[in-house]
Amino acid sequence: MLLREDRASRVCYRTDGGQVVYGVPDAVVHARCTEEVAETLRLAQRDRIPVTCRGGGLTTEGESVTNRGILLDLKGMNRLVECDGQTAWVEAGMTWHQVAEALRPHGLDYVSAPLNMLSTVGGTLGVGGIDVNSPRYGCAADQAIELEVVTPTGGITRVADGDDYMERVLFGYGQFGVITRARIKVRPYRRMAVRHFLYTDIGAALADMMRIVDEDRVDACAVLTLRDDVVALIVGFEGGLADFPGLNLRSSAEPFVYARLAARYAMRPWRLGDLGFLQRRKNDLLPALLNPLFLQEGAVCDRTVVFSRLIWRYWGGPQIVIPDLAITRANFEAAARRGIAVCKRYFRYFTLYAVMIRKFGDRPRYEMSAIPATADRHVCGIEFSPLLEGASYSRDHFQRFKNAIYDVGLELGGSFYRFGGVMKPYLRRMFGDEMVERHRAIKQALDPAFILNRDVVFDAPEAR
Amino acid sequence: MTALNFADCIGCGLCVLGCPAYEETGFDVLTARGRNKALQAGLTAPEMTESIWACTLCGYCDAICPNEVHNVAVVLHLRRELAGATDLAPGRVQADRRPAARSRALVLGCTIRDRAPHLKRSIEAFLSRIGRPLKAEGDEGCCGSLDVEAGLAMPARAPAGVVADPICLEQFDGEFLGILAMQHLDLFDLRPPFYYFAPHRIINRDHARTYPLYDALRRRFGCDMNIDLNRLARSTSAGSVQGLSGENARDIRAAVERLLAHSTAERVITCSPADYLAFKAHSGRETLFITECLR
Repeated sequence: MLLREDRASRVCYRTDGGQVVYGVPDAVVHARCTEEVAETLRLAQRDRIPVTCRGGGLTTEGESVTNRGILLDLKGMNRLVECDGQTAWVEAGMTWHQVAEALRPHGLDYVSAPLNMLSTVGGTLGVGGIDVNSPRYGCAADQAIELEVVTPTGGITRVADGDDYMERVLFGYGQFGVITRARIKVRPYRRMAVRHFLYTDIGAALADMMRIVDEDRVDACAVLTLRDDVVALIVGFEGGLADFPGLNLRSSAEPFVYARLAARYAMRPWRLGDLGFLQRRKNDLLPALLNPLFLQEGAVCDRTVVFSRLIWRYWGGPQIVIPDLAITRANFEAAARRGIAVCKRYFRYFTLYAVMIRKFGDRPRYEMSAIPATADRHVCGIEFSPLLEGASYSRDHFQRFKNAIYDVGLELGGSFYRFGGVMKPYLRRMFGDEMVERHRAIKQALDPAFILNRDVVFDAPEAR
Repeated sequence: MTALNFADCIGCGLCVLGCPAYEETGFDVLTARGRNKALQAGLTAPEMTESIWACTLCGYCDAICPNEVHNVAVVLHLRRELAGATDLAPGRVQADRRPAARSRALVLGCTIRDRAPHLKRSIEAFLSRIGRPLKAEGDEGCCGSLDVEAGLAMPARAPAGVVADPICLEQFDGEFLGILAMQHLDLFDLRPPFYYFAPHRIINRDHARTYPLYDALRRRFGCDMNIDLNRLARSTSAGSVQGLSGENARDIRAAVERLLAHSTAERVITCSPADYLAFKAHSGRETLFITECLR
């Protein structure tokens, strides 16, 4: 176990992907194996020292930021332990990029993971993990079939699909144990042909996405917008561009979309500057998807790398603010329209990213998660992100915006992906006191000193 | 002068993916992201010496950064600060006042000249075959690139004909021998399977122009390479001021083992002199410099 207390080693963890919350831990532990994680938690439990886990550090609400205690960096646990062609045992500190690199020599790939390849396996399984192929495969957490977990008191245990403890740890926001290894499903690596279709209305794009998901026509899909001026349905098909299936979409021809935009801005000349924004963002998006370094016979090789790099180019900024709604199909369009109205109130430029996620029945793991209770086969997720374009806003402004988006979710009976950290006050409003107290009691029993990722989701005992 | 734009780092961590210091240690603080975050927090060079000296200037972070942070320039600036040098003269090559002669010269570099002189004959033979019969000068001297990387001198840009060592390209404007080799693949006996170690400095710092050449090699021969899924080159750290001087050196043996972990090829070929020596010493596999494969 490597413990570092020098200032440089601590301050480099001073914020997370969101860059809104700041804090410097007292010490950093770099764990290299399960036993070191266990030892850290045993000692911390004994001495009541808070332990905050960190993988890729890509939380946005400060969940992996702390200003006291130990920051437990798990990225040193980054080996592919074994692979049988159907599943792979991976250490939880592996980033998805490392998983992909390790599987590729075997001609394999992971099934579903966040598009952001810097996320680690453990952190992802703790919150869900949504991919463009989630309409077919569900969350990354649903690809795990066995876990090795260190309990908050330092015990090492192995759990499999169906075990109660596994159901708590998956989607558990790091509250009930530290995932140190996972056996995940893998599949053959394939290239993906990617096409996009433009719409002038968000409702039509979402309706088309729901239909092609129902019909299981493509391997991946998502809706991405620039403000509500340009709405694109992006679809992926694992095969050559020539084999791309007919989709019978209600999209509009690109010249029509641009003509409509021109007409709209002709009526509002004071907003002509927005066209520059649209052009800049288009220039970021399309060349990235058509980069010849990643294209083979018209299909994107390593689409996760392409998308991951694109995400940072497109969404990255001095602050990353991504309130999201997890919603039922019936409220998908309403949530999008109301969210867009909120975005317009707070920011000049914004983007919306919508996906669908397959749900596998009513597993206990979904109970207090971003998967809302619904009998539908799929749930719907929407992220609303301001695109700052060099503008500065206060933390309060960002927080009011996030609150306004979350209020829409509450009114429409949805859930949220990011309900920890500074968004914690929404927890009880979203899930209700009974459910929160029940989960908190489980946490208290497993973590008597309340040291593991404290304050991220539940109030610590002394705060009550 | 390149802007020291560490404040633009958004903390995405893409730079961490191929950072040799990170691969060896797992310490965020030793990566470009770690340094940038520390600088953003107000730390000064003396508080970051370990991180400043961990960087081998491989250029992976610059090539992948979505926000175009000039991480290599930041490290060089911090090294100059550590050296207390505010008004540095250009490196030694600038003092050589024979630009006309240099512009036609073959620059071998210290590594070949001092540690692998047997390569000189095959390099000259290759250049002769492609119609560039250049000869290495006997009194070439050190170009000073290591001083530049150590923060003890400023870069100089002297004209040269062909440069055989990527690290010398920091000081010379000349054609890189390895690129010329990629443009004349038919001259070489490259029977697969083999592992080709592509020069990370060349690929990562001039990605759009050089990557396609090495990718063509990979496609043609199906060889294993040190190119990752980002299409960027991973390094052994041998060809750095640390690797060449032995001070603050990374674990080169471990890096060689990591790079070869998924390759069963019995032969390693490279056009990078320091890496040639590293693979020869640590891989346990037959290791050849590209010009040694000349038909």
